[in-house]
Amino acid sequence: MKPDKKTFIPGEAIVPGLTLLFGLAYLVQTRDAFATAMRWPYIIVAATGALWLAVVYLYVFARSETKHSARFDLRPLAVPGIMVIAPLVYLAVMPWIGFALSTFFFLPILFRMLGGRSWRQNLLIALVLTVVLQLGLVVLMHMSLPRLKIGAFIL
Amino acid sequence: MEIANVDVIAAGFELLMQPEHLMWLPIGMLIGLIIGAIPGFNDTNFLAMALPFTVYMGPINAVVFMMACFCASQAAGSLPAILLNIPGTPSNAATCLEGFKMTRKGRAGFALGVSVAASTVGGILSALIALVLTPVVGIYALNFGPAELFMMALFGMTAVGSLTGKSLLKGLFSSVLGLFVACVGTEFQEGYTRASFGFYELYEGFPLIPVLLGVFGFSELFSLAGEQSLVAEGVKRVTGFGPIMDGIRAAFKQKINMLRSGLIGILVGLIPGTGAAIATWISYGQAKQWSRHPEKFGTGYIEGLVASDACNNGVPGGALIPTLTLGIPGSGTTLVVMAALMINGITPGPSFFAEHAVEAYGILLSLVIANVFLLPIGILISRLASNVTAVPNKFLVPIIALFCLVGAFAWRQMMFDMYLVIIFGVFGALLVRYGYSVPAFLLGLLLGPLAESNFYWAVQIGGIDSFKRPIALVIFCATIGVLLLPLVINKLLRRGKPGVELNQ
Repeated sequence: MKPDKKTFIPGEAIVPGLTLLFGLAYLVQTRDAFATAMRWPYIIVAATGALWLAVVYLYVFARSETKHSARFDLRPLAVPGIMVIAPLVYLAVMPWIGFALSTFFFLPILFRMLGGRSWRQNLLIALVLTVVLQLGLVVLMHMSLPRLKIGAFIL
Repeated sequence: MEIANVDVIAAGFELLMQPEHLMWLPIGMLIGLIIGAIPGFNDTNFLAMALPFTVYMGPINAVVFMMACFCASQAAGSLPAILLNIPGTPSNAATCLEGFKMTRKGRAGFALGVSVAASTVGGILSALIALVLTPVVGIYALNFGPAELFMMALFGMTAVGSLTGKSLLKGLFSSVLGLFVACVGTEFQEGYTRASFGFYELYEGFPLIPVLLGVFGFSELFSLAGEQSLVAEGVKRVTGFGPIMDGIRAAFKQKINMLRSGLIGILVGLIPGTGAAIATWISYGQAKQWSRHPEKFGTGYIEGLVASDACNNGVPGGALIPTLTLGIPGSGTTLVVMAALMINGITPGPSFFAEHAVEAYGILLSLVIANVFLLPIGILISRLASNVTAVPNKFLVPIIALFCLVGAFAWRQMMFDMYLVIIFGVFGALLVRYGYSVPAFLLGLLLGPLAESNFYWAVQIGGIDSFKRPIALVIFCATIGVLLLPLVINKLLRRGKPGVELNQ
């Protein structure tokens, strides 16, 4: 019986790929470093490199049948995509409109995207949470979260 | 201050009994019971989210709160396992096998009673053993120099890496990846900033809290967001205290089973990187092997349920021993507990009992008291928990996301840390998706600076001969041993559940 040929598994390549990018960026950034400062990182880079090669050999290029479950599939990425993009937008607008307002907009929109049909319910929960967090974090704990100044009123 | 002394224990008890410390015990237990009852969101996720706020609580309050939360969540994880066939925490998977079958037979109250009693006994046993054993380990740990500490860090990372990844290779790769990420930031010999990538926020390296929140808390949301609800409809509610009390009485008749399972929990908890999920399957397998009716296992049999629940609540005490005395967390949760101590200015490790003996006993005693209170509180919560598990994901997921982001900001008050949560959240989800070990990655990140500085000092003091000292050599042999341990554990697991492998 012929042994199965090894094939490239794209999903399995993500973590080693990110590691490679990080490693290259790290080495470029530290190219002018003192030798004594880089002794430990070079030991770690060597260990990471050896294990990286083993992972690539055994998992990134694997027998297609045995590694089928680890294949990279783009279809179920819609919901995780929302979970990445929505918080990024939330953080991007926060310095401009303040913590309270951005939270009040972020929550009901995300509730809606994840299946919360009733706007009234979404807004009510968002309002309660925003008020509780604003009071707890900004008023009581004095956190320096971004705030919006409207005239004499600071939100 | 002497350690292992009655006066010190009394001082620890007195410290714990102060209202400002004691009040965190019921608060932690209540939250732990709620968190443990929410499937898919375990105590480690929650405690990672709560970590930034512990800066405001102080070290003792933070650890008392966290240990109470840890114990209670281990016990409460059985609630959805029994009622809904959904393990509240990974360690409750074995509980599903027997508990849900009992629920299907209309004996949900009885099963909940058995679970509460077994969890209480396992927890008390584990806490008492930790109280006696931890200081002894602490005394020997005082002999540790830089070479031994480096070897301990190596041992911890190897143990966690080899036992928590989908494969040995991926687990070890996760550990060195954590060490590599820990190489970012200003080093201590020359004061050179190694690869801050142009961000001044990274001058001190990747901050622990946002990374923890990302890989533990935020990464969990990707799977939760894809599901409609955590809770199945049509589950029969437990009515009255009668069946619960019957279950408690029946569980107390299983004395040998409870003691054996509790001890297995402690022993497995002692080994860094193993955790309750592995311990419960080993315990379940042992109970089946020793039972007079092994054929009844898997059909809603009390012996299987007792074995699983007594064991999973025995793990916290065991996991606390290496965390406090050696600075090597025995599980993901104790890793967060250790982080809480560190950000509050206390470094767990060999000198912990010498420098903070009273506080250390306070922490250990809080574990004993939390487990004593578990029985009455557990009975009450058993009746109420099913309501808590009914929170729909469409509301739960955005709220958790918000708390992760705000939690990251709370520590250093930097927006940059909130972005790190998202980045490491995605990275953590990828690690989990492709079978890498998140605890190993985090332990590498946490122990990286410790390993580097001790390696440097060991080489400076005695050169390579430093690593030939007896304790260092013994730890090195133990490191080789844990590389072989997955084979032994897989053999034990197969006795409990045919076809099951470590980390499945």
